[in-house]
Amino acid sequence: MTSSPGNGDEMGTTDQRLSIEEADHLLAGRVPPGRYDLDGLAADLASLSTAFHHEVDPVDVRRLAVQAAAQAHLTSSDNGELTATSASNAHGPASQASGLPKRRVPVLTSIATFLATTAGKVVAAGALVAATATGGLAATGNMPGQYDDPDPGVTVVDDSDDAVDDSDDAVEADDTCDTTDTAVSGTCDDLAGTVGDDDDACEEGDEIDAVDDADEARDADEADEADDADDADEADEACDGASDGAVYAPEVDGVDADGDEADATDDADATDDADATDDADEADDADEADDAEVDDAEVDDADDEVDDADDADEVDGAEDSDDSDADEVVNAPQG
Amino acid sequence: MGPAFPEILAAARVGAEWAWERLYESIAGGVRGYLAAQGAADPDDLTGEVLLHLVRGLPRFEGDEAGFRSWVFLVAHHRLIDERRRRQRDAKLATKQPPTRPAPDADTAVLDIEADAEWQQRLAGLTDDQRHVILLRVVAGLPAEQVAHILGKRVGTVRVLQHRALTRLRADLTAGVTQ
Repeated sequence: MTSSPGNGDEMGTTDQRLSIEEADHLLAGRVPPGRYDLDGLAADLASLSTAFHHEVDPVDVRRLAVQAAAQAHLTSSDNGELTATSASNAHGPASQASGLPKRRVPVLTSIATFLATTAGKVVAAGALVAATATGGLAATGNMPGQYDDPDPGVTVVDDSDDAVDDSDDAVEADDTCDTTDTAVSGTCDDLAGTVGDDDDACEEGDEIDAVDDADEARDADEADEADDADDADEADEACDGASDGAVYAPEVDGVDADGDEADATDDADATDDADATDDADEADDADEADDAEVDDAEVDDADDEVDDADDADEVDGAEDSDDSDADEVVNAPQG
Repeated sequence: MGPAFPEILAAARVGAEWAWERLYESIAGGVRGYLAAQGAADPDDLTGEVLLHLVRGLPRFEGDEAGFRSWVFLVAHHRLIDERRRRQRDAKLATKQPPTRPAPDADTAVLDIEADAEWQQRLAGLTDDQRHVILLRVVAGLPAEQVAHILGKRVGTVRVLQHRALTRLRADLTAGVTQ
């Protein structure tokens, strides 16, 4: 044989091709009509059908049948798989019989059903966004911390950003020395001194220092002079210094002109708050609390000094004295 | 079995021995012949294993006699494949030994063995798929559609396989005559 097994040399060994009907006749052991050339093959296939047949012993049949029936009743504990297909993977691997525990199937099914709905998708998306935002804030260290307010009765005003944003305008208006709309110097320069001369605590303050160092130095001198409040001239200079500082803090516009203790405390706390928001360390909170207490303690003195300033400078008026008072409050811890 | 098949099937489902004897008589010869022609090591034992699976699966079977025969040979074919895999696995674990065959009766054994050997040699010239198709169609007497179902192939594929197998067998027959 020269041809490969099974493929055969069809045209070389057969006179005609086999039709489907002729093949069926041959496989049944019959000669196809009109194809007497295939009688040999038909007889050959007929012998094949009987070649492997063996007479079955009736006794053996009975024994096997009883045995099969008995064993079937004893071993009919299969898990429901079709017997004909259970023992072979001829047509591919069988599906895995085991799976999730039954107690978990309803839970997972309910979750999958919920997520399949539009509402479920919205909720899942919202949760994802919230988790992402929280994680991002936590990663950058911008999570809002708890503010330890030593005096809950005092309103806290966060004016640090405004003070910095308006620094340019303040510098421009520095020469005008408008003291009518200012009462407190809430600048970050002063803040640094309030929390203990921590330069790193106020970057904006440093920028302001760079912009107007001369004014700041003059402010400090004049503020010290204003602490004394011995005469009207000094009070005026303090007024000028306070106004310079106040220009950097437009927030003070909202401060009452009467310069009472509450306002001064507000300003002091606002200064502390500004400090707290200037990316200072968490340890600054304790300093803030201490400073707040110090500020509160100094308020009394400041008010007294304000009163002195009022008495000393009747010409400048109450607002001028308030400005001086506020500057005192802020600069008091430095002393 | 003919028209009595539904009655026999119902009786076999409830465990009637006479029904099982009838069923076994009708299928045992074909199943054993098919397994022997496929080269099963112990066709009788494998035939009994097929019967066991039939008994276990009979309560879930639904169909006529033709469907029953198709199902029987489907079970037999799968048992044959399992037996071949088992032999291959055992051959890897132990030294290869010649297949053991049951001791035949002295009178008929010679002719049977000669006939089996001749056909085994001729069937060896076919591919596995061609041999499956020929044996299922000739020995089991199944139509092409049921053969396709058992082998998991399309009917057209089965017809192509049987055509090539017949051509091959005819060529072998012609070559034997000329020799």
